[in-house]
Amino acid sequence: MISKTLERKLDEIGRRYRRVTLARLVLRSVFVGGCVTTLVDAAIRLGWNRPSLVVVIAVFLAAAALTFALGYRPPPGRLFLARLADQRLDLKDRLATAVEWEDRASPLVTWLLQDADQQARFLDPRAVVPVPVPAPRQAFAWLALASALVALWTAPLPSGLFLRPAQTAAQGVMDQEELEMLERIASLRQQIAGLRTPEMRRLDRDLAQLQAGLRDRALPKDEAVALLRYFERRAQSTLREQLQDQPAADELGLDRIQDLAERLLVVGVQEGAPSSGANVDSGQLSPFGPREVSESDLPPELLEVLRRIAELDSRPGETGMAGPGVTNQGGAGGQEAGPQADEAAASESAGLPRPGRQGQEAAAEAQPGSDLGSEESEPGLPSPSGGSVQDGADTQGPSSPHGVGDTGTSTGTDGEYQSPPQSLRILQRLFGELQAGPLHVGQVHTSVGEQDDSPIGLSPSSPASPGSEESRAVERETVPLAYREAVRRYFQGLEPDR
Amino acid sequence: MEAPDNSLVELQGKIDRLQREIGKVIVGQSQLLEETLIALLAGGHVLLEGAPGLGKTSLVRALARGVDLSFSRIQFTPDLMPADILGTNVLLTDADGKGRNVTFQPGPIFAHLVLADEINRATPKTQSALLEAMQEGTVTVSGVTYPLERPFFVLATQNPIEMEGTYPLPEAQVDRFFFKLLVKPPGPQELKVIVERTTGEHEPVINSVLTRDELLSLQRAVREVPVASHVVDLAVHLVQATHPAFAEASADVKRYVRYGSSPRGAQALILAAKARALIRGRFNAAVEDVVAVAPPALRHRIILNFEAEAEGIDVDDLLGELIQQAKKEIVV
Repeated sequence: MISKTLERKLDEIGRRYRRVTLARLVLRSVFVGGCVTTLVDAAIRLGWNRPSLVVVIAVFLAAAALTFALGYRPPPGRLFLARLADQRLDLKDRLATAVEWEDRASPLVTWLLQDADQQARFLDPRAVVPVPVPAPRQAFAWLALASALVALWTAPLPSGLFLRPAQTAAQGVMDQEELEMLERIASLRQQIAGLRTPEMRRLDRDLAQLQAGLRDRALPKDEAVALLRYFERRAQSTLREQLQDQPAADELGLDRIQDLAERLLVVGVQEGAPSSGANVDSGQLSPFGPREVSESDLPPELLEVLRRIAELDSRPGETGMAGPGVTNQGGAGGQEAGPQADEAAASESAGLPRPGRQGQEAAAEAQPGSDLGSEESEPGLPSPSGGSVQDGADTQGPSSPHGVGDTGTSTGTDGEYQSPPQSLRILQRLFGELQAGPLHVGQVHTSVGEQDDSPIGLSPSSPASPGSEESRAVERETVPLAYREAVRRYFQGLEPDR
Repeated sequence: MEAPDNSLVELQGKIDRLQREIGKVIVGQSQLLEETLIALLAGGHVLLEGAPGLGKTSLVRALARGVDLSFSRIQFTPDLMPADILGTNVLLTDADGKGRNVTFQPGPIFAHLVLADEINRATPKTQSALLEAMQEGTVTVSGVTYPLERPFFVLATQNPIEMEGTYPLPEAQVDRFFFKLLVKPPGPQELKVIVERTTGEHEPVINSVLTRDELLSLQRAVREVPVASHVVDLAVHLVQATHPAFAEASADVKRYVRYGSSPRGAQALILAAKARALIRGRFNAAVEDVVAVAPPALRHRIILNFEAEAEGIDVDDLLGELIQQAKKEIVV
């Protein structure tokens, strides 16, 4: 039998060997798991999109567990440990032979066991099973590999290479929807920005998170749509509560009234949403065009506030509101034609006053067919008169020889309070690109009260078409008929675009 | 643990003394001397190959004197007959002179140490007579078998340079040699010592340090030396690796080797490893011992093909690669 000393030493070596091999196996499993996860992540990113965190963790755990299972070895026996000690300490196979021959009776075996016992006294388990330290070249290789994996993990790779064209198109549609949702969120945040209540702050914070989630594509689309709908309902109810708590309008200043008007705009739009809520519910933000909202559709408090604003608007001397009202009427009312223009102008003056917005800015809004006017109008939307709202560029219709807006301007400028309209026409500003559309030229009359019979608005209004100007110039000049075409071509040749 | 017998340790000490005694005559050549002793303790025969004048005969003489064994030398020539080696029946007159009897007259092979000098110069018939005695340990003349007294140890020499008029040993006969040792020329320092020792007034005297019985005891002890299983595995793998038909044979073996080692090669490896361990004061054969004795035990058992001969492939180089491969197989 081998000596107790040798037996004890072999047990110590065995325990140390198990610890070291287990630690190495765990490290190797983690590294292999990281490698596999990085490669899978990169492959999925290249082919489709970045996988979710759950998938990443699952891949890592599976790869690490598989590596661990494949690399796991049962604890070694004494013969293996003796051979290990022989090799590491150059004991010329004394221990292994002693362990293997311990049960045989022979003088040489006796000598061998005694020899092995003496050797075992100096056995150091740490020398037999040292902590594995990689060589510099090996460590550098490991570091390089780890760096490559980190770089691959963080590298911005192209995605969607394996998607079919139909899927790619669908993804493009989704992207567009997400952009529209982002716009809705931004708009909602802007609307509640003035309110500093804790509820609004929380809502704003939630909206910010939703915005970030959409931008990072960390939220599923359906979830984002549901959240946005919920936040809109929250904003709507909170704003309604705020309106109920407002003091009387006549006790407020102009700024407060303006604020109320803006909120009313929001509430009115969202109250009217069910009538056209199909688009909103479907997750698509359709631009809100002019919409007919009957008196019965609005809550009573809203009607009361509207009435008070109209009263303020109609007070003499409040030119700061009347002015823009005039110009707005010129802009919005000009989009209509026919007998309902007065009512529309009244509702406009009640719903969209903007104190202080006079002069050029207000005039720009008031210009029928101007850039803003063309943005606010949407071709094809049903107008109260049963026709369609015309684009600003096309305002020179047969029903309005002077252009758009001439019929609506007189209604708002007289300053008289008019009975509440049977229907409110609420306009929502449409987002678009400024200065899009054709350039219009004309003259804007902004001086209210002047003894001038000329209508306020644009007169004459026509697109700034260089061709028409040339034609008119040619017509004005006394040019022999035979040379007119030559002169026209001459002036056309002078144009910078030709 | 019971107290071991000290006689074995004493015998190990005597081997060390024997090496020193032989070293008085044989300068340098320590490896050659150790390998010769290994073969002697393992009970094998040695084929010494080297140029003339390198001390082959001196080595055998010194060994015989140091072990106190009977020694005979046979100079092999083309006209040497088997009876000249084995002995023959002769008609002899009785001691009283009245009658005559046919009596077997033993040849020079009846000695403990036999030096077969230039064995490749004898005819195959004579060579085979010697080799039969080497393998069987007996000599049969006229239907009567005569056992050779143990220990029986043959050291044959051959000159690798002069091949004209020689009869190269067949592979089957070469395989019967336990070791094939290459006698290399001495270095400058060793040569200087040789000159000084052999040209002086007094020749070195070798004392006998080991008796025949002690040598036999050592030969029995060698066979009792424990060997771990992985050491045996190494020897087996090494022998297997010399066969070109072996699945795990290297590309060089498949290309240059015609025949690999016989099972005698594996036996020689283990037995020599045991003897080497005992000579070195250990009581177990180790991997190191197998690796050390592999070249002399296997080099004459590997037969190279014509391509290897043409390209000058050395068997020892081939064995070196095989040994390195085999060592990797047993690393834990």
